[in-house]
Amino acid sequence: MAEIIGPIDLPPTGPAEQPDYDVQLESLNQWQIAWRRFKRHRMALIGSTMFLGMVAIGLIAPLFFQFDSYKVPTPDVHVVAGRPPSINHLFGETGRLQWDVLTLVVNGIRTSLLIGVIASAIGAIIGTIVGGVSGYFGGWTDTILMRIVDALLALPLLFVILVFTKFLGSGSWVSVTIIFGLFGWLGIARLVRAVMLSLREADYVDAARAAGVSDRRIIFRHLIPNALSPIIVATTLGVAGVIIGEAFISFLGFGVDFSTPTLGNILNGSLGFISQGNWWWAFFPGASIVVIVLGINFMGDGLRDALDPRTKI
Amino acid sequence: MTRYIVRRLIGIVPTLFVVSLLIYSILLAAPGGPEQRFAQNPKITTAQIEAFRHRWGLDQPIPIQYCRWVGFCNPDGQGLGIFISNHGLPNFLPSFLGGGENGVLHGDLGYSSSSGATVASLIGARVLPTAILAGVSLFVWIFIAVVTGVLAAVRRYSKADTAITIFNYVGFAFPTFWLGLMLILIFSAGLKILPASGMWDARTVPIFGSPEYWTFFGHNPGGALIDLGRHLILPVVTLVFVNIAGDSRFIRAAMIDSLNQDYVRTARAKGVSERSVIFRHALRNALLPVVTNIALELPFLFAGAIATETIFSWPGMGLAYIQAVNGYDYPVLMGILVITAVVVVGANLLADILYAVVDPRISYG
Repeated sequence: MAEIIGPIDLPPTGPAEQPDYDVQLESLNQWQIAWRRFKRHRMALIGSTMFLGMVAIGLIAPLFFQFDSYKVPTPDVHVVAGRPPSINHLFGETGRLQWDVLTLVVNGIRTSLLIGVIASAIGAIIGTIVGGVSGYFGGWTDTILMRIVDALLALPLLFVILVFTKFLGSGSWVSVTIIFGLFGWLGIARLVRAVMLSLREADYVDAARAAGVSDRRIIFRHLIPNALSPIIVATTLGVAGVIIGEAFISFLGFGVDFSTPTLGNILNGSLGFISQGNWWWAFFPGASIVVIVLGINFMGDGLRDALDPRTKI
Repeated sequence: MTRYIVRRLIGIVPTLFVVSLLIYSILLAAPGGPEQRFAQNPKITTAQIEAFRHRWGLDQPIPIQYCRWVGFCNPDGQGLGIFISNHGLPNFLPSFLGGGENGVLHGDLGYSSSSGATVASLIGARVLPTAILAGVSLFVWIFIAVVTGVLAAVRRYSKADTAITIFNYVGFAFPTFWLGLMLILIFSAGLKILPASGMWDARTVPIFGSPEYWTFFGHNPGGALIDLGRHLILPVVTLVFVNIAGDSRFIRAAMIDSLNQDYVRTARAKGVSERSVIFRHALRNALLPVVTNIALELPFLFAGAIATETIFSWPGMGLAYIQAVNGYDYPVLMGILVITAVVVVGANLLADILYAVVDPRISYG
């Protein structure tokens, strides 16, 4: 608050005097404090390592294990169920066409992460706008928007998304991502609305208003930074939800088609080969989902604790 | 209290209205229409398709089609008379009061476009399997969630707490369908001790729900129940393991909150045994928010059930839904969505009322 000069006469600031105590003072902003707290959170570090490790695999490994859905491997009819993990195929081969599971998995990690991150970002943007408008304007706008949210929440979203990806998705990962984004804003909209409603009444907002701070400054200095922490946490955790949801829908064959491997669609068909002893096809893609989701959840909880100055770490 | 319930009942009308619009718009977004199945048939003439469209009212404007589907409009009516039933009363009234008989409001969900049977009868046959699976899962999962949640809260930061927390995190990260795959892999394909799919053993037991099944059940209830139980184990474990995390964490938090209250300190100061403090003073109060939480989780139970039912070929509503989406069977699909929405809205209402009934601190004007 250095720039606000009140009616009190401030003492003249002369040349800096040398303090006689040996303490270094540094001023940190909100994000620097959050980063310090995040670094001290053990679970958050484990989670980030898992998540970033998978991101690195998704970025780098597809360069070495390129996938081309037109280059069908020549299947060996004597081992229709695929061969188990070996030196040449570390994760084994799928049944039927005998794709290399490792190639599918690393390419699947890349697509699944892309879908998760982009869809959650779309959802967060729509949710912030809807929630902000709803909470800020109130009245009829609020009533109508919240009715729509209530109605959408009365349906299991996965049911609805499934229909849309099947009927409108046409198997492309871009359209599946957009559909997940368009349905993924409900939680964040409610969250932002709640924060807006509570912050409007907060003492420090009243105080800012009383001090003559402009509306714009209140919105950008007080409301948005305070709403940002829950939005970041919810969006992070949302990535995990989208990855699991997309995997299920594509596993059923209703989502992304096989020309773009995702961690879900490469499992399509694996159920039929389990009884023939092919465990590697079903195991590795699903285990990758678990590692990613676990990483994201740890990271999200860490972020929640780090961004909330009231919790002790 | 009565006024509160009435107000809440009126409040769900707009929600259900918006839900019905959403469900109807799915039909509009869908490719093709009910006449699409004649497209590949060279013997069907354009005139016959027109007659089909007229017979089922597909030539009407969309608002009127929607109005008939909901049951506000009478398909036999003309002009403004569409709102009046054949008995001369408003069409939306229940049939026994002189209203119409068509539309969702009167329990008419239409006919399946793939089998021709009424949607109500198709769904009716699927309700019991889903109810068995969801009911047993819910019971097991609440029981385990309460036990682990209370244990974690009472022994806070102990090894047991850490173990439960890790277990919850791992369970939460498992995709339902993949957990099902892994359980089949271990217990059916590997150890060969549990069935991988279905709800009954087709070699020894008649089709579930058929009259022969109930005769078989009457003769040999123990055998039938054991067979059902063996088929239930893997689907229930799948649903429970994935869903337990949220409630367990929630109960832990509610319990910690409850244990820090003044009345718990008072009870301890009076010399009440620790067991009684935990179960009679703290847990009772901690369970209040849990009631609401469980009702709000119903949609997730349904959504989780579609994954579980598909993997284990459990003949419930989730599997019916997947089959309907696969076969472009819109009436069945919409029927299941309508029923689900009504159940979810009803459960939310029930949760709110229960909450008001059990917690005297909440006053509703």
